[in-house]
Amino acid sequence: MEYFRQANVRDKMEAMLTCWCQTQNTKYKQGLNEVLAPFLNLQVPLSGETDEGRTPAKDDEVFDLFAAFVQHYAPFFFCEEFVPLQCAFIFFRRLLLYHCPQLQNFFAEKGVTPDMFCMPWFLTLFASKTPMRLTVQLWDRLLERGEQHFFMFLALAVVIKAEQTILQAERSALPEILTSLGVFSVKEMESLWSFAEELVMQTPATFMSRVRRIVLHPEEKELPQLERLEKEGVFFIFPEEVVGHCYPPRPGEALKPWQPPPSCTWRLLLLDLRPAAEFEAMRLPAAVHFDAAARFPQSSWSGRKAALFTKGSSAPESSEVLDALKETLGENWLGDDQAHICLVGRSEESWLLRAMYTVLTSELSLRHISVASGGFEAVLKFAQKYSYDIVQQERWSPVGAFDSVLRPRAGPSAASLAAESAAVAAAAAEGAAKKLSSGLSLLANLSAKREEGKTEKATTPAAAIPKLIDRPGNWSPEADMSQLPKLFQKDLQSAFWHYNDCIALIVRPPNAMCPELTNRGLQGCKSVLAIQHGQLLCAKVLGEELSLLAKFDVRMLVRGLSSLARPMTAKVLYFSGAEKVKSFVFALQAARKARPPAKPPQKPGPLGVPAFAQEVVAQRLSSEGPMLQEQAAEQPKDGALPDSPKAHEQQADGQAERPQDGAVPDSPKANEQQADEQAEQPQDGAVPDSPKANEQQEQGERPKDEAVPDSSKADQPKVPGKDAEDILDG
Amino acid sequence: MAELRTQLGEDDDEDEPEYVQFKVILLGDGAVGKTSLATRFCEDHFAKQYKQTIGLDFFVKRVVLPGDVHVCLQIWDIGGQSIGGKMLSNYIYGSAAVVLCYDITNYQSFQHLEDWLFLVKRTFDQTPMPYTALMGNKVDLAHIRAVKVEKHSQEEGLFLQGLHSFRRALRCRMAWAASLSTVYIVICYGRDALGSSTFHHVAL
Repeated sequence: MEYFRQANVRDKMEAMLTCWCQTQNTKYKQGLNEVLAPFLNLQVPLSGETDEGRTPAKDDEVFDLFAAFVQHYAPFFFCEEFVPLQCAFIFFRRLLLYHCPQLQNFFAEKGVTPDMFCMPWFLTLFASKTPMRLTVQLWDRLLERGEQHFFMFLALAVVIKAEQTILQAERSALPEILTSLGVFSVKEMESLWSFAEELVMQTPATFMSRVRRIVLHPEEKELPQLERLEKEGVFFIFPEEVVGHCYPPRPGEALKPWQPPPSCTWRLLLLDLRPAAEFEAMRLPAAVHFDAAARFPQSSWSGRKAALFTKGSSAPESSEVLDALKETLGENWLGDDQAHICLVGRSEESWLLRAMYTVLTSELSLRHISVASGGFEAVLKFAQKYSYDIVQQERWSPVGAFDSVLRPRAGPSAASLAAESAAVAAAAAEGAAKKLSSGLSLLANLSAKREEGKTEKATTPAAAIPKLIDRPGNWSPEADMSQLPKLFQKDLQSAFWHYNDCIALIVRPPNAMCPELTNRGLQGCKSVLAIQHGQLLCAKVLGEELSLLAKFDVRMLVRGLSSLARPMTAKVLYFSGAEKVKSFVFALQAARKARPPAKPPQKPGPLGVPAFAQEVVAQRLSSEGPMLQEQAAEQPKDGALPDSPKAHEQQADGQAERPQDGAVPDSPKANEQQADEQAEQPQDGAVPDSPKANEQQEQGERPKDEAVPDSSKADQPKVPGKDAEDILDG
Repeated sequence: MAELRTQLGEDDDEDEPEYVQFKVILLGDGAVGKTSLATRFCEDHFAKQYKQTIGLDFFVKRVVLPGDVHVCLQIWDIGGQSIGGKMLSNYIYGSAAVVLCYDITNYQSFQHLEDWLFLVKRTFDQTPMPYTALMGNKVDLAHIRAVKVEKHSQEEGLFLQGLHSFRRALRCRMAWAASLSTVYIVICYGRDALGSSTFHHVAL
């Protein structure tokens, strides 16, 4: 800005800054000038037709405003060693891990720390990297809002909004990209601002109060504070907030400061990690029990303590933890945005809490995970102090327990809830019975169709079908397959899309394995494709285990799809039907359009179908199975399909137009997807009592999650027999 | 139903050669010209106005060395007023080369290099030091020079190196190119290839 180049303005600036430093008895610090500039700018003579009444600010006004602003909002200029600032970075890291763990994990992996790009934002409250006109507007809002900690959430919003760019950045360019982030237009500022407000709403109050105490108004300015903070290593929630979330406000009582405001949209799910005996002896009514130590014997946990820091070695175990959690909380808790998980345990077993916290956040990248500070003892003490009911000497039965916890707080009373859920269960059971009968007719239908398919297939020359070997066709026979990273079938349960019927002909091997791509003709191994967290995984099945052949970024793939001209660069997949190609391409496109992997599109699918009904269907299916398989065996491509109901279902994902698949309500996710489709195309509901209809009915009771982008529904294949080329071009 | 294949191109890096990556850090007092050095080198321009670096800035430069060696330099421009020593150590850690910068018209900035060097030494402690270069900036202001050329070479111990003004683009680029190959040599052939002296530099 020209104005600040004038010698007299510069002198004035210097004088003011010197004066400030003297009155504060502190040294000049970088960035102070950036904070002063917008205030000095108030002296710029107004140009054009602005209101006549405004006179340029006087020098002492400017100085007073500046001093007051720094005092209240820019807290980092007072301490010599910037200890509060460094504390702020630690808090910021935790906050990022709380709201967007995959990003923080990515940073950790790449050796990037938030201070590398946040410092100018924190120090100058965005002034140094933002155009001054915007800075003034931003500060205006900040003053109006009056929350000193808000800048952290703004920074968080900036980073999370750029998530996709960041995750795709090449390693060497990453820091440069990060330092170039910021707020550059009014529109951007508005959207970032409201996103930041949302993030504030989604953050436990403990965080704010700790930031206030440690960062903004530090009483002790010495370093131990910093080290202590670094060492605690988890996102803490104070016992009072835990209690506040666990007990609804008593009628007629004023809201306590530690109780969540009525506007709070999320619920705290208390996951109690203590041994079963202790849990049954005494617990908070809302707690869900997860006996971490018993499920995963001590040895493996304490082994973890050392193993925690060696990447990769513990991957299978973290997936076991995930499975166990799903078992405890139900399949769908993962997709429930509004359930924040707070771990509580014995205070002397903090290592267990830490290990669990690390597994959930750093390894599984789950959002909204916290730890109750002081352990169960502190929570209990606080609850007793306010004479809340403690459940004592009562057996714990997981059935239905988490249901009441997971329900929105604004729901009706417990009694009516119970009645309601009983009614729902009854309806579901009834539906399932009908479903079963319709399922049988569907199965009959299916076999008829297969029969047709067989005759059709018989006409295609067998020579065109790739020979199946145990590795992609271009990989050398010497390549050591055991070196590949491993996955488990269950890891893919959270996949957005899953397909296990493709043949990998050419896959670019890991460099170490074989340096050259050589095409050995039509040979390939049957592989599983899955889209998960924005990546397309290509893996080979070995029983329960999968060897990861390749991983591709979906965005890159979609870009690559249009340039078919580049032969054999990375991967040639082989599908045995136009429909499959189509559904694959659609799934890719949908995944690309989908929201960032921060929120893998999952839905709070509630009760699904009663377990017994599932079992019956599964049994029925498996008894029908051999027949199906027999038929399939004659069609080379299907012959390799595993004979599980699940596999059918997965296949069904790509072939929504075959109604029979709906009969296997094995994975609620797939089920719902279908239900969604159905909502759009009622003609699919040709079978009136189909499980889909049922599902829909249940879904009507809760607000629909919009996590699955519209495109994925709209793009679902409906016209069979279209050439792949058409789709690719489209 | 016809058998169909889908061909997928992977990301577009496919054709790009592999770059050898190095981290180069710029250290020195405030306003000695670290950012100018970096922008001149990476973006080939010189900003007339001084803008303080708060925290860190990053620049990336890709160069091809003789023998078709592709090098990617990640330049960490560390704000002259950076915060606490612990954080600085994090930034210094893992660097392949350190460029210590001073302003030839500001004797203090020259004296302070000792402190900066101390930080580097402390960070690397027992491990081998990175390649370290000494840069005297702003030679176009030689008429108000405060640090004598002899001082510089004395400090440097070996040859006379880059006294620069980054207003003079050509020299800057040459200096960098030269330092780069040195960095590369040091990395590839072991630090002993260039002797054990702390300061190395390349004659222009």
